Parts: sequence; structure tokens; C-alpha cells
Amino acid sequence: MDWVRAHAASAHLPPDRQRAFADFLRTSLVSMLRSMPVGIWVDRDLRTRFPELREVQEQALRRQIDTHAALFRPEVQRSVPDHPWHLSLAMNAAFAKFWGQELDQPGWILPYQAAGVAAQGEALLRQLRERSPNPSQDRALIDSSAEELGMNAWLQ
Amino acid sequence: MEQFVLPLNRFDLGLLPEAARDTASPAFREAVDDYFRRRFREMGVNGVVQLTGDSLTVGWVAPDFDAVVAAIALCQRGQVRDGVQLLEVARSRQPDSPDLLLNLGIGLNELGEGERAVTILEHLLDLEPNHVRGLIALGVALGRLGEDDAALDRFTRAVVLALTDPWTQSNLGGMLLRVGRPAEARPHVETAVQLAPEDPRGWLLLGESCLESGDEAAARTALRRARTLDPHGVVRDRAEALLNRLAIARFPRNLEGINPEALAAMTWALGHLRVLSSADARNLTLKAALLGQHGLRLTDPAKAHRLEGIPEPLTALQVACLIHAGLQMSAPGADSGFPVGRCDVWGERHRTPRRRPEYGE
Repeated sequence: MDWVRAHAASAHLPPDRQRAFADFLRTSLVSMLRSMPVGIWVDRDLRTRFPELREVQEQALRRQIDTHAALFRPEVQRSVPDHPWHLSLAMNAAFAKFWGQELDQPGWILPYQAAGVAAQGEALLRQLRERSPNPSQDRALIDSSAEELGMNAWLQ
Repeated sequence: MEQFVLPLNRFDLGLLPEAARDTASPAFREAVDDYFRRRFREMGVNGVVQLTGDSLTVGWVAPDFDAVVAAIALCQRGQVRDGVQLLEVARSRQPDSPDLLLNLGIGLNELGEGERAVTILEHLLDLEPNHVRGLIALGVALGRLGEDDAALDRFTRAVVLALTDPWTQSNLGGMLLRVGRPAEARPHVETAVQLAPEDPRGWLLLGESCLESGDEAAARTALRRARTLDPHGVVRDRAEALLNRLAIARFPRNLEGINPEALAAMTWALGHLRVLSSADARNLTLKAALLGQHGLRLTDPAKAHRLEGIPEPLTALQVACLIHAGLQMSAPGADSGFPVGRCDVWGERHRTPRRRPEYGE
């Protein structure tokens, strides 16, 4: 809640609206945390097993990278408090770094490096690499990623 | 081309030497430039950084990047504005590239910037007066600006230069049609379909020119061909509308009892509506009208339409008759779009539910 109260565009909101906004952002980030690292495993598995789908998959990944880049837009930055903005950016950085390396697109990580969140993205990828991609590891991966981002309390 | 915009307050100052961390200082600008130049070198790309106001824009391309190819790809994906933007940037380095000018002109015209498109395409034609695609694109742009005579002139020049190009022929034919010269249009569009028999637009134009010249049978054949070749696109919609127009034009004759199908459909519609209360009849008419909004294939009796509340499949003619008869019951004399109700007593008849309708009486 503190980060919503400190956010210029939300400071004037009544407390119940601030709470609702904070809940919304928390839910969105938790949902992103649950889907992004495991999603990378799933996408890589699909890429390995279905080479005929690679082109379509690459188009989808590129679209995803473009969508993530919207987070840098000034109007988006103004409307999202700093803390959730950084958390979201760190997860996007992990995604951009992973797929940038897989698809030989070194530029995908560039905006995250310039924004100073690439190291956090790399830390998330370490969690991914330390485990074997297996559904039995999903929970542990999500928990350790949450730990890395300081979001573990939100998973309770 | 890859690009991102980063507000300066989000740039990681830790990436710069300590002496260059004041974002308002010239040293900051230089250090940012230097940082990205090094990154571009590592990535093996050509890049550019622009500091504007309170944000920085970073863009880069592969060394073998071809702006025209990339712009065409963007336009084909429907990102015409992005494609045009790319070409505008590339134009500063290649001001006289015919390919670039042609595609920029076409893109600007698609964006509705006709006058700028004309300027660009005229520049292209100054450089290459016999550029056939340039002449066609300029003709299209002029036509959109309403300068039909000038457009006709460019299309004619294109045909003279490339007689066996279906595009030159179909564009000239299309413009002749537009200025009300269907008989002159017809040989050009006939040539176009001979040269490109799989192009639905050529067949559509041929259908239109036949229709405008009064050759309904040839129009019907050409329009059906256009419909078959483009079963899901805009050509199909236009061909279908013209085929419907042909069918509708026969309605008055049907009313005189020449075509039993129309008579049967109207009798069925009347019978169906008569037994309903006014509210239910209005409701059914509304449903039929909604169904009709999606396009009725009046020319195809085999096409079945479904209407809630009526168990059996309906022909388009039956749906049209329901719409017309229902409308006349609630608003006698109103135009349903179907010239089936020339007698204005429809409403009167149907307000007398017990009386058996005697169609054509």
C-alpha cells in the first residue's frame, strides 16, 4: 500500500480506491510471476519438439517483446507506481534476455540494461537454469523467483 | 528496425562515468552516445540515439537492413504508418531511390495524405518518366483527390508503356468506369482478365462494366467469377452486392407474376406474418432485418438461412419478403430496400388479419 500512497497519480485517491489499485497490481504481478518463468520452460519445450511451429512461435515472442516495451512509455510509467513497475520490468528483462539469446536478438535486452534492471532479470534466469525443466519443479521455480524479487509474501 | 524510448529519469546513471551523471549536462549527452555506440558495436548493428526533451529514443538496424523491403513488409502487415515513417527516415539518405519513392507515395496515399503522395510520385516520374508502377500509383492518388482527368491521363500513359500488364489495363478500365465511360472501359478490363484470369478484381471490374453497359448476362458471369475467386474478401462483398442488385431489379417483374419463386416467397411471408400478433410480427421482421444485415444471397436459392422461431430453412428471397412485408405492415410505404412492394396497399391488407391475402390483386 505504501507504494500506492507514494505514487503521485494515486496519492489523491480515496483509501478504498488506493487499496483496490494496490490489489489489482499485486494480483497482476503474482499472475505474471506464476506464468513467466514456467512459460519460458513450456515455450522452449515447444520449440524443441515442434520445429515446424518455430516461425509462428518467433512471431508471437516478438509481439510479446513489443508488448513488454510499452512499459517504457511515459504515460504507462506515470500511471504505475515505481515498485510494481520495477518488478514487472525485471520479469520482462528475464524474458527478453532468455529469448534474445535463443533467437540471436541481442538488442532485446538493451532497454532493460539501459534502465538498470538487466541484473535482476539475469538473477531470475539463474533460478530457471538451476532447475531441470519439469512440471514437478514449477512450484519451486515460482517460489524462488518470488524470493528473488521479494514477492514471496504475496504468494501466501 | 528495432527501437525503444526510455524516459531520462529511468536511465541507469550507474552505466555512465560519475562526471556525466547530470542529465542536463553536455557530458551526459556524450556519455549516453558513447554507451550506446559501444553496445551497437557489440551487437554488430547500425544504431542511432536521440535525446529529445525528457526521453531518449534508441533505434538500430542490421548492417544489411533494406528500408524499402522492411517498409513493404510493415505495410503488408497493415502497419502502413510505421512503414511510411521508416521510408521517410530512409529518404534522407536515398532521396532519389525509385523503389523508395514509389512505396512512400503508395503508403502516403493509403494514409490519406494524397497531396504529399502526388508530390513524391511526381518526383519519381521526373526522375523516371516511364516508370509504369509510378504512373499507376500517381493515377490512383490523383483519382482519390478527385482529379479524374489527370488520373485518366496517367493510366493511359501506363497502358501505352505496358500493354500486356494487367494492372495498367484494369486501372485504366476502372477509371473509365468511374467517369461514366463503361463501353470504353470494357475492352481494357477484358484484356486485364485475359492477362490475369485469377485476379478477382479484374473480374469485378468486368462485371461492373458489363452491368453499366446493360449486358446483364455477361455481368452476372463475371461477378460470379469474382465471387468465386475471392470467397472471403472485399471483392466478394462488392460482387455479391452487384449480383443482388441484378436480382432485385427483377423483383417488379416477379410481382407481375412472371417469376413464381418471388410470388411464392411473398405469399409465404404474408401467410406467416398474418397469423402473428402485431408485436410478434414486428419482432419477426426485426429478426429478419438483422439476418439481412449480414448479406442475403438473393441469387442463390440453395443458400439456406435460419431464423429463430421458424423451424424450416429459408431462402434469401423469403427473408427479403419477410422484411418487406413486415415493414409495410408497421409502416406502410416505408422503403425496405427491396422493390417488391410497388402496391402501397400492403399495410392495409395486413392489418386485416382474417382476410386471405390475394397477392397482385
